[in-house]
Amino acid sequence: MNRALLLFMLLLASLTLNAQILTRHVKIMDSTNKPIDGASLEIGGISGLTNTNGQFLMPKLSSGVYQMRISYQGYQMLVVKLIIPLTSDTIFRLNPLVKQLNEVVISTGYYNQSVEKTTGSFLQIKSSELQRNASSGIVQRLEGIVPSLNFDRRSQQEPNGEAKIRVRGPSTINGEQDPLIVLDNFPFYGDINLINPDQIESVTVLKDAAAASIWGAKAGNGVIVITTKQAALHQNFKLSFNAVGQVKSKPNFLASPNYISSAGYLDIEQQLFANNYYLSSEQSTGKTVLSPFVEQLIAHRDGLITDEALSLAKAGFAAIDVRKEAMNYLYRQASAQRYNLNLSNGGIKSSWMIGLGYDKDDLQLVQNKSDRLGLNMNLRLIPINGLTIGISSNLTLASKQRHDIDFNNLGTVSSKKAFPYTQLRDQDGKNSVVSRLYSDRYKRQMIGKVPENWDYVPLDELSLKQIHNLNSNVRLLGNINYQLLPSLSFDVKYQFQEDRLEIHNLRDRNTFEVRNYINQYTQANGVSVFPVGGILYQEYHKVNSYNFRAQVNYNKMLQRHQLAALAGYERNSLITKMDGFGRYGYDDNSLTYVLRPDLNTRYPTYPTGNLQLPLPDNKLEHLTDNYLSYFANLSYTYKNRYTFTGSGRIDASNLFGVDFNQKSVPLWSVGAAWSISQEAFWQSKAISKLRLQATYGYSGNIDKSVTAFTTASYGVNQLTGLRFANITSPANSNLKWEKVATGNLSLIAEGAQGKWHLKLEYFNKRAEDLIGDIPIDPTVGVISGLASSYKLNYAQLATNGIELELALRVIDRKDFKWNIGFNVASNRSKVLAYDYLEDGYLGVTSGQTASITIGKPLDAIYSIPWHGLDGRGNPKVFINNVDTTYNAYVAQLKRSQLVYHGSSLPTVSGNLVNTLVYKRFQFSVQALFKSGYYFRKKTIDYTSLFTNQIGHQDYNLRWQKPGDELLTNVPALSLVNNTNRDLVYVNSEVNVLKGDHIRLKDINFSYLLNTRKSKHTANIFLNIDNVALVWVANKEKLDPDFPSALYPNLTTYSIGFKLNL
Amino acid sequence: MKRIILAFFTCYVACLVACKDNFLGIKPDQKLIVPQQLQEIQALLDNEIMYNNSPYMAEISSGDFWIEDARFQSLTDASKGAYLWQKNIYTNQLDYDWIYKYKQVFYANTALEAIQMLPADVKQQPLGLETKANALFYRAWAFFSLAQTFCQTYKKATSNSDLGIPLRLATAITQSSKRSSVEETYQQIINDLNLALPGLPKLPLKKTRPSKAAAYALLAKTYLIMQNYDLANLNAEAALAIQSELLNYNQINVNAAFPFAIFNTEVVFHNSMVLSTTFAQSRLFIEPTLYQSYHADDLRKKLFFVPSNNNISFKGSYLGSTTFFSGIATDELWLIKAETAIRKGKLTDGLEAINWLLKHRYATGTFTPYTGDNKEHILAVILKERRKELLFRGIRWSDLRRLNLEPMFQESLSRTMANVTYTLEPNSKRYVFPLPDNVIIISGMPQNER
Repeated sequence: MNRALLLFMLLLASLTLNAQILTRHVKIMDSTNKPIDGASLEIGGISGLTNTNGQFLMPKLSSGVYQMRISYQGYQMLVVKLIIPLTSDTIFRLNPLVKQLNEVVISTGYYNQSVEKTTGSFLQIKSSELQRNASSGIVQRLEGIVPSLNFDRRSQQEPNGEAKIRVRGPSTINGEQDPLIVLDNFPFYGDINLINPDQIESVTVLKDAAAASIWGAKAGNGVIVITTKQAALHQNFKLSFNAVGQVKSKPNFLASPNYISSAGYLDIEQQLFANNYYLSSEQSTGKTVLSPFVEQLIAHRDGLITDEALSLAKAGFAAIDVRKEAMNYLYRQASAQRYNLNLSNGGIKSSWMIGLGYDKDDLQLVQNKSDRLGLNMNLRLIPINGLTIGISSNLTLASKQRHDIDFNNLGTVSSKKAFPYTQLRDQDGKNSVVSRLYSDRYKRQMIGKVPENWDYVPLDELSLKQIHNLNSNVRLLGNINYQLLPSLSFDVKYQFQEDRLEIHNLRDRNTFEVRNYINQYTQANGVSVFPVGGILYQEYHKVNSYNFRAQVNYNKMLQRHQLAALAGYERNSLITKMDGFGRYGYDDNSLTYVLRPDLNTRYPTYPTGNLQLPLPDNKLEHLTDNYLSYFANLSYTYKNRYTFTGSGRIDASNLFGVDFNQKSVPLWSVGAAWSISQEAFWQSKAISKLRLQATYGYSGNIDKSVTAFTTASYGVNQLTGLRFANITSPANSNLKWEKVATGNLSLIAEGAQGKWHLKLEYFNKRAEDLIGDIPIDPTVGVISGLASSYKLNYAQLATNGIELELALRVIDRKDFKWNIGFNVASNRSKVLAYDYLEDGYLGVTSGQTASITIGKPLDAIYSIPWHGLDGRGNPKVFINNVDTTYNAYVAQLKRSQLVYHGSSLPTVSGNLVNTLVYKRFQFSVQALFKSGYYFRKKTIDYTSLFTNQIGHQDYNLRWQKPGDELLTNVPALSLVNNTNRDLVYVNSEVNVLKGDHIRLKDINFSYLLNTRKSKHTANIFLNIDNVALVWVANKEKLDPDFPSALYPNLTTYSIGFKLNL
Repeated sequence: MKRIILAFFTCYVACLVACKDNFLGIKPDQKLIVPQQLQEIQALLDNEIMYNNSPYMAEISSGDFWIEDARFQSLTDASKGAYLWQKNIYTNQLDYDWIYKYKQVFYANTALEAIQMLPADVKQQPLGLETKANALFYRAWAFFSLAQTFCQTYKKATSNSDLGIPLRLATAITQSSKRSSVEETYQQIINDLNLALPGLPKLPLKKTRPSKAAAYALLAKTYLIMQNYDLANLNAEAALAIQSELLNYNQINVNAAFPFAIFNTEVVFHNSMVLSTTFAQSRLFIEPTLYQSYHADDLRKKLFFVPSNNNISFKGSYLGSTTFFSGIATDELWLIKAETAIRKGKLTDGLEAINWLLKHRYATGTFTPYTGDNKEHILAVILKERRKELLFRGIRWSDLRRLNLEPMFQESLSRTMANVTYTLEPNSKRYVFPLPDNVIIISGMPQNER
């Protein structure tokens, strides 16, 4: 070591001594013999730029053989050997990177490589494509533009809510479903919404094994690699700025079919009342809450109000529409502002980039808002020859302020919907009382006996119930690359990430929740034992990830041979901690609270029972996810025609225990590609490029809920005060990774001058060793929840599909361009092995999901056969062609009797993008289509209507008089709860509809403020996202993507300004 | 320079790769434990599954209450079926009685297997013996409860051929379930309890845990059902020798919504029944003849019952809530002692026991002790008092089953719903509940005829 240092010092000394040697020039020219001005040269640790004549004065170096690097933007870098001293002036020519305009360099998170040197299935989305819509989240921006990504919102009540994402159909049954998100080389575990899309350079989707296997045990569901904007060398100062203003349409509850009119519901209540339906609730010791109208009916029955007063009350209620109330007082047009600024500069030895983004959103619920501030900085330094140091730091701060009073929270208890005639604000502008928790009669009786007002006034709660989320994410990344030899380099990367979330949930002393507790715990002496004051719940999440990677890269070009190889070691640790604690009697002004509430004594409570004080919410969690991995990747190309690739990875994790890790097997992939158009025999002018690729390999996945040992978790029992253990997972010594084998074939063709581009792919995924539930005899005693099942690696699933990408330049004139992009992706899944009770019916037809059946898609949808209504408006059911009761019918239903429709997720989806450019105008329109799937529409379910106030417009189509059975399938109103009668209709085949549809996804318009020739550009743009459903296969015109939504999808209008200097 | 950098890289990477710390041995979730230590094993046994959710379907079938037609409609199908003694009662519904009790068996077996793995000296220390004894007791308790619902009552003549419950004595998931005979079922209960007795403390730390008193008491209950009155008497005496105190009902507040405190002095072993909506005070009305059978001075009339919707409902649970108490209390022990003494011909002992109990139940100074020398007559009195004392504790069903074997105590139950009268004849096959459908499908075990 010391010797090396000494040598280094001597070398430096000799540089300064060798002074008087004749100076020579090197001259740099392009292929047309034009001198290049400003090319950068580097030799012996000294660097400089060429002058206007392309000349560079050689520095004074001691004699010897040197390596000189010559680079210039847009040209291939040249590395040459020079013998110093130079005997004459020397000329070098640089070859332009003509091809680079078309060349796509993909990033896998481990290496960046030209697509030509790979065999796998990559899909790269450029930042320009990410601008198609202006939403704040990166994931939302991918929607539509990547047909092989499916966004599943079947169970979402908010159509713009979070979606579950799948790449190329399903790869697992019970394991983790989400694709791996890689941000700047490492897995990202924070809230994905913290990533600012305007700071993203590109997104690459790794679809097949050759692309994804390098990510090993986490790649089974596909990988989405996100690369943020980075500082580049040899680049002038750049500034880009954009500002966007955005408005969303107001949620339109009036357009939702899940509604029953106030008048209709009042009539039903009146009939139910006459039928004594409410009697047990009225008399219950729990003082069950009843609707305001039923309370009027009771008062009328008891002679407290007159007939006239009753009909007046009824007419008053009938005039109220809770949907309008909610739209007027709870919801608004969401709006947002987004700003983003990027500055960058690149020299020869260093470069830097700073990005600053700010977003502010006013959300659709009044008073709810969020904002996000992000700062990205990165720096690249080349302190000495061959050594590159990269440092980047990313900081994001986000906050969200919300209350939870929404359309779903206006019912009598949180699980019930509002009565259709619920009023939020009366004619005098006073906020209205909504019946909640206990009957109005009881609350009136209790006035004077309890200290607090017992009314629930939703609009008053808005400002009393505040939940603040504060989120911060810090990412620090260091990267050292050392080029030991021209072909050999070492790379060490380290990333530290900390994601913190703080939830501050304060329920003011005057909220209904607090007042209710005070009243409930009021003792005979009129004094409540419930601590008076607010309830504060605070929760802190901290997610730390530590990633370390060391990697050796080897790149060699020998005339016809090109070899790129890498191997490395990786160590990842993810530590999640969460701490949540509630406090009673909290006062925000003095930060005081009740230090020692008595949680043990049982107190008599109103209206009934003896209870301890409710335990304040509390949580404590500490999770550790450790991974060790070894990986290698190899790519070999011969004569630019034949490419072979291979990759392998071994993962070990703390999930399984030591035994498993010792016998872990590598996940691997192989691939080959043949560039036919590079062959000598290829003469076609029409097809300038033709390439075939084939790959096969394995990636993995895991279900974290399963462990190799009998594991239990502790708790403390309230009643006994003793510590107890809950068995969370029985022993499973055969546990292992789930494996997904993927085969992929692709054909890539391109027309002359890139007039058209086509990529056709076929994939076949076979997921093996999937963890599946095996139903077991309940007698065994392994019961989670109420189901007796056990998890084993035994299930199998196959998914295959075809994908097509087509890009056409229909018109390509100077002033007028018309481009078409057309993408289609299909996927069909089939369960190959799964264990279930053949006769079991439970769950097969409920909701949008279904039980798993061998030979059918994973997301199969089934229904109960429908035989129409009988002469009294009841659904007909038969056992062996004999009329029967609903209970008996449902009891004997078997899977084999059900109607199978198909998949409940699209099996074909695609988009069509048309882009027109005329002079400075650009206009682009994207249409999406989805096909080959079914959904279960909502309809009237009388039990849900009576008990949970869930209505549906189909009520208006119900059977009302004999003869109607010929016209409608909607059963007659039945005043007795009969769950199975409802079930037979709601889950019947008539309510499963085809999902096929075409949607106008977005329209983009932009105008360039200056001429196209200028280096600096400024433009304004307008975009409309989620424009409209153009065509649907179902007659009801329901949106098949949101069968559970409370209102139709929202349209977003954005207007913005972009500046590039 | 190259060498320096290279050396630095190599050292750094080598160090990190070589650092074989416990990186892969760290628990993925800090809360997870692999139960190995005695304290951890005891924590498994302190899970509420061990003392909550005891069988309830038989209580619905027991006939001490009735439900109005309108309220009947809102019951679950299983409850409706049990209420009217239907042949098929589970329509796609889970059978909580079966799954909760076998979950308890699984916990007990997990604990027993974990104890088995411990070193001998740990197993033999008092805490080791106690933990094992606890597990054995809980398993016996589960088997006892299951036997009352899912197999025929014990009949000496046919107990070797009558179908018992599956006796799962290990956690092995792959082991298939087989039905034992009734004799084997009861022998297993007795064996487990006898094995448990030496390790148990006389009285428990918490009443959710077993004790010697509880084990003797459960043995007494078991032998009573087996009509082995000598051993039932002996074990009841043994239990009473440890814990015999009775609540003086004169000291209990009759106006309280729920007069009895949880873990009160009579409780020997705490247990609660599955809380079914059937048992809501607004629904469950006491059989009028039963209510009328309480003397006006009998404090139980006020402490057990509450007017509800123009009828009479129940508030006398020893849990101090609407949930029914289904554990063991000293009143039951006094009743077992009284009944078995009479059956053995020790009339004085028997009368003394029943009078002692009732003295604590009547208003001070109002109780006239029972006397007499007619064995049958006294036995009938005791059995009547037994029904009045132990209602809604999951005991009535077992009593009906065993007493139906004696012609003089046979009873026919009937209930009316929507003007149709349903009857449960003595010794009917409907006195045995069917095993859940999915148990039969997966295990292939024979179903109970019903």
